[in-house]
Amino acid sequence: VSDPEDRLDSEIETHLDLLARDYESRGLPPDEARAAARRAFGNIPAMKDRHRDVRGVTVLNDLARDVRDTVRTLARTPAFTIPVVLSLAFAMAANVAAFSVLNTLALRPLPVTEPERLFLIRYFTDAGVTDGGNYAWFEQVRDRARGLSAAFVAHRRGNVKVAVDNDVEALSGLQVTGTYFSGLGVAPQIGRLISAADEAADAAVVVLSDTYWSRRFGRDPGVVGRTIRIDNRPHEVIGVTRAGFFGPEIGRRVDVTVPIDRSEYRQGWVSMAVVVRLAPDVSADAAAAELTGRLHDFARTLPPPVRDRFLARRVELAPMAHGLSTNGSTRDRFTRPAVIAASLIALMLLVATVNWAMLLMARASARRREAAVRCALGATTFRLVRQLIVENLCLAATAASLGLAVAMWAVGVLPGNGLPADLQIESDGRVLLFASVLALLMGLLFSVGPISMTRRVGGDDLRTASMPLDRRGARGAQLLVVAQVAISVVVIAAAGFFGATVLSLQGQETGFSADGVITFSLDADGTGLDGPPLTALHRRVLERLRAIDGVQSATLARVSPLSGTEDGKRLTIPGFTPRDPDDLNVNVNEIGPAFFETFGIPVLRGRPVTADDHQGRPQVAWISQNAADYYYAGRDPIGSRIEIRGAVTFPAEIVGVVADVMYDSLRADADRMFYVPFFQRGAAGEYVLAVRTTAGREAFVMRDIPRAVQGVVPDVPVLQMGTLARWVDARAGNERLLAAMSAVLAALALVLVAIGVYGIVAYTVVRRTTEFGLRIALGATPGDLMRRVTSGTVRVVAVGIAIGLAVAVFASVLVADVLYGVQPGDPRVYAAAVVILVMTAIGAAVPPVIRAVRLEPMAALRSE
Amino acid sequence: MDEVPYGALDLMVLRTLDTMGPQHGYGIARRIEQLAEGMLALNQGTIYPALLRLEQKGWITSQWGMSENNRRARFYSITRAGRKQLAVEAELWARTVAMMNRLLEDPS
Repeated sequence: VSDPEDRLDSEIETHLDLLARDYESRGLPPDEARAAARRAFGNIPAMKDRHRDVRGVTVLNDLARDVRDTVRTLARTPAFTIPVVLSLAFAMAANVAAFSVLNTLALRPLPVTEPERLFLIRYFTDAGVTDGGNYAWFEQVRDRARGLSAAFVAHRRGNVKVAVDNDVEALSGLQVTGTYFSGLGVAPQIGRLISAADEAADAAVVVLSDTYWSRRFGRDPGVVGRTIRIDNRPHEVIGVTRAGFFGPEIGRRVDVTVPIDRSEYRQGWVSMAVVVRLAPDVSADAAAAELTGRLHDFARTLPPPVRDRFLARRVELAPMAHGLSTNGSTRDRFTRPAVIAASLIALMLLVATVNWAMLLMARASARRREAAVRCALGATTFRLVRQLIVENLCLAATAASLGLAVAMWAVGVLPGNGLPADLQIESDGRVLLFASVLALLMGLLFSVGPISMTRRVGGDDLRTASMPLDRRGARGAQLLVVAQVAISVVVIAAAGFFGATVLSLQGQETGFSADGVITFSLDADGTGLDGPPLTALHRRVLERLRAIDGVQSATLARVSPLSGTEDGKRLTIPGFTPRDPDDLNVNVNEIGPAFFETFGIPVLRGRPVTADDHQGRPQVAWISQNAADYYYAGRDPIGSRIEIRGAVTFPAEIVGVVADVMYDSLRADADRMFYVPFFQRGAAGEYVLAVRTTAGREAFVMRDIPRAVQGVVPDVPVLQMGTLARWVDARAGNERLLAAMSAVLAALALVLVAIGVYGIVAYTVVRRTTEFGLRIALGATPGDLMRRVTSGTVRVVAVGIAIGLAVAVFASVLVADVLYGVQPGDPRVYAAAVVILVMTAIGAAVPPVIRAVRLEPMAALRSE
Repeated sequence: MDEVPYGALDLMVLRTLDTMGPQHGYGIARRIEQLAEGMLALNQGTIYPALLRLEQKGWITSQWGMSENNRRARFYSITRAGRKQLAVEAELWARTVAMMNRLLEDPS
């Protein structure tokens, strides 16, 4: 027998046996002898404890035993354990998933070597901070600047056309200098990466991402050495980057990386990212000063007006440890909503924890007898408390592991469902640490109530331990209900604010009708056509589209509603004096026949655009209502002749006024727009094509569109096809998600408040049954009784509401920039939250109050 | 009846094993009680932590054997180190007692 515990038990047995025999030999009957032996031996558990202390393994051993006991206890009461573990696991999963998203968006650095030493070059100018660069400037940085261990350029190319064999698709491309991969310090998975020699030789080589390599080539190592066509130029595949490396920007995937086209970027100044890696021991300030000196050297090579502008600039280094963060980037758009969502989810966990803490308290009070018995048997208060903490930590740990598993699954599903599909959410040590800390906190929070009760049990004896919870125990429960009410007010207010925001955004007069409209674009560059042949191609495509079964009308345009606007064009408007330099820089959309009809944009006055508006016909234009109001201020715009300036300046006569349409954000006012017919201008660049379908035919039409297009141009892919409604949804997606989350949370919190209030009132009725019976017997009115039953509860709810309102007002200011159409201080939202809460509380209190009022005086008195 | 003075139990156990040879826990407890002649309130169980402590210090060893009632029992015996320790502690105890006696008898 090696277990010291068993050995001791065996020794005790022998000892007691021998001792009992001794007593028997002195004439005691066997059972009395046994009892006498036990008395002489003393308190066995206490002795065992001391034995363990001597063994010095107490803590570990006891812990193992506590865990064993706990598992047994919890397994004995599945009706209690399973709901606790499941609901907490759910809340944990949501928290861990939210944290993983935040971690990916904002906390986790780029998966490259020493990301904290990477900086993006930006410039202080009179007008604020800008970025950008060109190749000549990059050469200065790379070859002249001191204190840098690397400098590289990463320039994103939106859609590049990649052809493998005869299979064409649009992918996300990146142009880089030969120093890019070495500067980041990343290694290839197979093959090699782009080098300085590739850049110097203008080599037509390409590096694939791991995701693209897996998807398109099934991870075939033989891909190295193959030739694929990128934007119609053959490129040799030289290597594949490692899994997990997604490029220089979080949330934006890069499929193919090619060497930069140096000639293209030698002149001009584009929004390319010039990135430097600081040498060890060089501070960002020192490097910025050095780079400012180089910038001024560079400026002296430029012609006078530009030179002066550049001489006035100073270089600022923006940390790039978390990747490039450009305007409108995933990081930019999703970090704040993600923080708000994570906060709401944390509140949910708090609600669940508070609720279960209440139940655990009730359970601890039910187990006070057990605790008192164990005290009497020699257990110390410390042991009891330890047992409780172990029990709660076990619950929390089980919930946390389950939650973690669910979260791992969830973060795999989230991208593409509410989050950008390109976001790669990966779980790292930080996520694990977060889950562990959360579980620990949860377990300890659970323990606070029951422990305070157990400490009092220390003074309890067996006689009083079975009596109902004392006043101080009830106070603990009341505090928990206060917390629940406060949290509920906060989440109901949040649901109110986000709900109002979504309603405002949805009720927004967009000026068009998105139902049944499908948009897509063609890779116009890929046709190799330009000018009249390209125009003709578009005309033929439109004809094919109109012929599809279920298509009511088809059109094309430079931009579609809510897809964003392009740079404005300069206009001359007769009779209008500009008030602002930007006044004559307006948005001009080029539109095909049936544009207004297809997008459901009302033509308010004049005529719509038709197939007759082609070259050779009088040049015409349309104007939006707000532009008409602004530029013509009461005069009639129809018949007015404007001049649109650009590479080719042309006049046009305004023939119609159309409704205002949102092109960019749902939150901003509609842009002032001018429209000119596509077929009078001729094709140049990319266009959005659109069809309006009969209801319910969208899916069929989407299936037929590629065929229709390929009937005209066989090898041109259809890009970005989808319903117009997706743009509308995308523009309110975050807000809708937050509204839905807070609504679910509010409902949950209300249910819990109802249970809590019911509990307190019902408990009051039970505890004071005798008193109430007596009062009824003495002629108390129902109203009187009701007041007595609920007075405590009213106080609890009132305090909870006050605290909740204070927190909600503070929190609403923090989310002000996410709200739309509702002010953070809007009293109506708070009033609604309070009314909903009070109604819930009243509803929950009704059944026990009725029970109190209907008490049979005699039965109540007998119950003592 | 009095509590066992601190440290005295170790000495009693060592002495018992030295004079009587290997004993199980019950034998040791019974011997101590007999010698105390009712002057000590000894919870017999308390000798087990003491036995473990002495064993850990290397002053006694133990092995399984058979008791007089034919039960498996752990028999403890004193080691050489235990005998040395016994001599040291007996000496210390004697000096303490002598010193206490002088202190208590001192009339001034």
